[in-house]
Amino acid sequence: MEHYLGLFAECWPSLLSGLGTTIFIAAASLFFAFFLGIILAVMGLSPYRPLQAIYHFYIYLVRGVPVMIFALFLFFGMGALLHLQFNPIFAAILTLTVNASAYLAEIFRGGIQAVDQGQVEAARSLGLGHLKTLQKIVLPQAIKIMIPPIINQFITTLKDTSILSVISVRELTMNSQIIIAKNYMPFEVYSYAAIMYFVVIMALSLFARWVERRLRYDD
Amino acid sequence: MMIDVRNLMKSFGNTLVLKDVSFQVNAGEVVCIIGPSGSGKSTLLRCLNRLEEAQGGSIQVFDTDVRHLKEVNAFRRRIGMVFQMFNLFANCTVMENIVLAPVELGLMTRAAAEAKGMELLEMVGLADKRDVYPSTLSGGQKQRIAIVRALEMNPEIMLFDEPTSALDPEMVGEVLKVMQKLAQKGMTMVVVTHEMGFAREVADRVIFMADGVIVEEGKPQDLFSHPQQERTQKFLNCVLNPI
Ligand SMILES: Nc1ncnc2c1ncn2[C@@H]1O[C@H](COP(=O)(O)OP(=O)(O)OP(=O)(O)O)[C@@H](O)[C@H]1O
Ligand SMILES: [Mg+2]
Repeated sequence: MEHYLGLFAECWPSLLSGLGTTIFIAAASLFFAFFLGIILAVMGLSPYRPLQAIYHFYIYLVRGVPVMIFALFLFFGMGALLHLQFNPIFAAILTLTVNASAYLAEIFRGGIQAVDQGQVEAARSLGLGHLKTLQKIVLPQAIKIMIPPIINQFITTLKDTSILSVISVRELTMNSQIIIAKNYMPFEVYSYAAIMYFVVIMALSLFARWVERRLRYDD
Repeated sequence: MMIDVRNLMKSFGNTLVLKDVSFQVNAGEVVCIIGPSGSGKSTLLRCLNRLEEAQGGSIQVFDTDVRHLKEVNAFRRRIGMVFQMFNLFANCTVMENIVLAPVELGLMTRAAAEAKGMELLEMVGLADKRDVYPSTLSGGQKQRIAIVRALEMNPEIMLFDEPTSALDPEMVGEVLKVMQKLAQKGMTMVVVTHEMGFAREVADRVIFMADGVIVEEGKPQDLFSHPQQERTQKFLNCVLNPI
């Protein structure tokens, strides 16, 4: 036990800096993905066919390609093609932004479509315009539907950062591997990393549960 | 004349749902539309406030050409609509449901809108529900609130699309009573309904529709007691003697 804790203290600075990078990449990706997701969802919901087609193509593309392949293709493949060396952090954020934006767009679109169309018709029949109806009736209800899956996506994206070790981003998983390469103690070091991921994700989950409870207005 | 529909045609894709429908409604008149499921009753009603767009014929409502409206929202304010499924705003309390449109559209101050809302809630016997959410109400209560929400806009015409069809039988009466009161006050009303008792008692005129056409129309006592068309006789027979 003493050995376990002692080693943990020794690895802590490097693991903590890895965790910082992990959280930074996840947060930055989700930030950009949020806006991209809104734009995509508007395309998906538009009555204009070509926009819908682009939307669906994007969603299927992201769903159909594993994150790791996307990251490798972008970092090594595109790098080789264009004769340039991407910044790994940049490639990481781009990878996860593209990935999360597709899933967030689906959450946004689904949430809006889940709102009872009858209420929209009632609002329109009272003379409220499209935008007022969206603002006062649709979005408040859609957001309530969307929040749990959005937080779920935050958790997924946070976990997906561990894949980015393949493009040598110095996040938590990569830093664990670097430590293990030096001290040959995979049992201990990977367990530290697991616990650190777990604590952060558990905190997010608890936050999600709390938000969900706060949002229940009508029962 | 409040409503003048002539040779109305409406199709969804290749299916013609309304075929050459013509009818008129005078100010203060209560017209009930009856007919079998799928005959186009809802569609006809929804064409009147442009929730659906017609493909042929003409629709005049208060001397406005509904098929060529420039300001659809300003037009819709003048027509109240009550739906089968109530369609109350789930994210709003009862009072917010009632005042949302007039306040957002700048027609009334919030205080004036709430005062008027309270009066209307008292009229339907639901003043104590002003601050609850719709999910806590019974069907009959929801529908009375939906009627209040429409009335708050001071409509000149009220459209009802099967307002009691989704209600448990013991709640039908409370909603019909409110509608009857409204009719007695002289509101112009078009009511799609399966409540033959209401049509007989309250309507000035009954229209029987089947397969997208008006088969027969007349005063309730004539249409119910002496239907002229075989199609009408069959329908009334089924509805009035279900077993
Ligand atoms: N949005 C739509 N798209 C395609 N077809 C529709 C649409 N709305 C209605 N229809 C069709 O139009 C026909 C008439 O429908 P409508 O709802 O007007 O009938 P209804 O007389 O109100 O019937 P019910 O008593 O069941 O309410 C039906 O065959 C229906 O399937
Ligand atoms: Mg109908």
